[in-house]
Amino acid sequence: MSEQPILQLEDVSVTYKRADRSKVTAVSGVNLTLNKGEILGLVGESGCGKSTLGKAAVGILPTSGGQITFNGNKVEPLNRSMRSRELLKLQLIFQDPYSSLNPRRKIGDQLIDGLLNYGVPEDEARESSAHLLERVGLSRSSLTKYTHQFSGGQRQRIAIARALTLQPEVIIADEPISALDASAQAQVANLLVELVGELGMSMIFISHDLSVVRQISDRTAVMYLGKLIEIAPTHEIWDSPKHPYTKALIQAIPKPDGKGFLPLELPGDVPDPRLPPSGCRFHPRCPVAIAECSVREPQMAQTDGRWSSCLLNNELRIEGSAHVV
Amino acid sequence: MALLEVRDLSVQLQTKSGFATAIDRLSYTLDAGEILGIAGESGSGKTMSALTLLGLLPQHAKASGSVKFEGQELVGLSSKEWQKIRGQNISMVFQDPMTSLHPMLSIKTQMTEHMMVHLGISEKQAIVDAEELLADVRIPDPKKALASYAGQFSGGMRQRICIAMALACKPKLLLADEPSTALDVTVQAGILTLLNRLREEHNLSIIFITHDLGVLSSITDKLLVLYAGRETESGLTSTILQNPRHPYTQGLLDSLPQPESDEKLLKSIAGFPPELGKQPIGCAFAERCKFAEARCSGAPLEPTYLADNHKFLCAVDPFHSRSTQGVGL
Repeated sequence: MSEQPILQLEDVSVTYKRADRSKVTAVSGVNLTLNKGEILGLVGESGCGKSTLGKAAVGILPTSGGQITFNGNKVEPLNRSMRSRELLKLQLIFQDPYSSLNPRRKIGDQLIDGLLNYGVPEDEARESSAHLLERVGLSRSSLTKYTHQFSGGQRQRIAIARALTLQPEVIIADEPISALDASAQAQVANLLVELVGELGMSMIFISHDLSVVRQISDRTAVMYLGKLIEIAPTHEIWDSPKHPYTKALIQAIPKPDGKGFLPLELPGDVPDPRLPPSGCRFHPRCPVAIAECSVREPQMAQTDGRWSSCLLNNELRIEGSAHVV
Repeated sequence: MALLEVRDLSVQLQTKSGFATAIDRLSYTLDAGEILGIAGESGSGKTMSALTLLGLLPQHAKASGSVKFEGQELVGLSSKEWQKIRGQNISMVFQDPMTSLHPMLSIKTQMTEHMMVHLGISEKQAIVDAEELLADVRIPDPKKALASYAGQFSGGMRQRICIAMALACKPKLLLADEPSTALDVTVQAGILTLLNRLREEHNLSIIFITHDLGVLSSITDKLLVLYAGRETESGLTSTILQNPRHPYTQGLLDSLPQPESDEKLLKSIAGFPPELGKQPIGCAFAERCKFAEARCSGAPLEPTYLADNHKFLCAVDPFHSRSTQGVGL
């Protein structure tokens, strides 16, 4: 695959102000590049900042540091009137199709909104919306129906069609299948993969379901408590995870082999992001942490061709230590 | 005697256009200390079959057939008689720990209330017992936890608290309806380990309901696969997952991400399950099944019985050759 960057995140941080005026840094200094035609999986436990990063990447959340560029244009938060035309080609699909679609408006009216806003005549907008509905596996008569007339999987198809109306080049899909049934999950994941290929798009696929990410994404990025901790081609991450956290995530997936092995538990919860642990943020839960891990903060670095953020892999280069679990 | 014996259990739901069958002649048994998994998609009747065991079916539902718990018939019990069973002998853990705990009541209030009612113990004793229960499900600092509220805990911790509450009256049977689906894999692994330990230490029987075959593989002894309210296949977990005989079971397995495959697309089962009340007389899966023939529809299916209580309902039996293969290839 050609490595032509289309979306670039440089040293991006996102800070929320809480009601009590304290600050929480949900994303902290993340560098990430999405290449043209690529599907990049972004995984991590809930609260790790993956959704926040996705929202910042499309510009619906302001960043507190760093820079995001899409096709050479700076991605900035929405202003009140209109998104700049350059950023229309960058679209987001939300997790929950039960709340991302308006229950009181017909599907057709919701789909043509974007097109009307940017000057497309209404009959043309309806025609292209009908085409998109057919492409995502629904009939064109869906235009005149309401959301409650559709199942979860069908609603997510509608949400996908809506994201496609402005012919995006990059789609950021935030847990697009986790609210769906098992068989609908596979169907919707497949639809996204096919559309990305057909329409020459690129996609960041955010999910806590590692096994789906493994199947569909070219590269996988792993986040922990606001930081990127490992990134690599998907098969490499899976065959030989370098970061102890990545390893723990993979070992926690139960396998449907009928052999009755319990998945390995990772003790403890994701720490409170207001008070991240000192040194390496993962050290209190890490099975191979050494004393230095609690005082020295690791940086993303490349060792033996693999990017990870672990003192044992990089700064200290303790051979193989991350793999003794 | 089995702890639980379900025979020809059916549940009919009253709809505008008459009765619709949500569960169609379901039969299974469960021994003490055993974990049974019920697999199926939403609408397959898996949650409805659990609610039947708690006498919590909606008003417009009607159960028929037989459910015997320790020899006592549960179908047709009055609501007063149910109160002695529910929460005490049979209790339940629900999918979403974010909504199954009351946000405005302290954990202490929520935990001790039903203990005092069911067990007739004093509040003082109930608090002591509640602390023990919380320690048993590995909640750090149980005293502090009792004084806290649901919002102060993470999803995994909340589910541990729900499990502790369900165990308060020392039930013999625990119904777990997608108890780990809303959780991260790392937290899910902890909940599975906990449930398995509780089974071993307390000889607890568990019915574990989920569509996640990986989860079922890791914790259940036997499996019941439901489709459109009907049994399609049942037997030992190892048999069902390694040598399934029903095309639907095979389809579920195929639609999981395949680690060895380079193919980017997942294999999905085309189509959708039949609507409630519109199940055909013959095989309900036939219209989505790539092996379907004329004989699949028109008449009710006859079950095929194999060794180790392996049973399936398929007229075509496309995986017949698997019967000669050993288990655990």
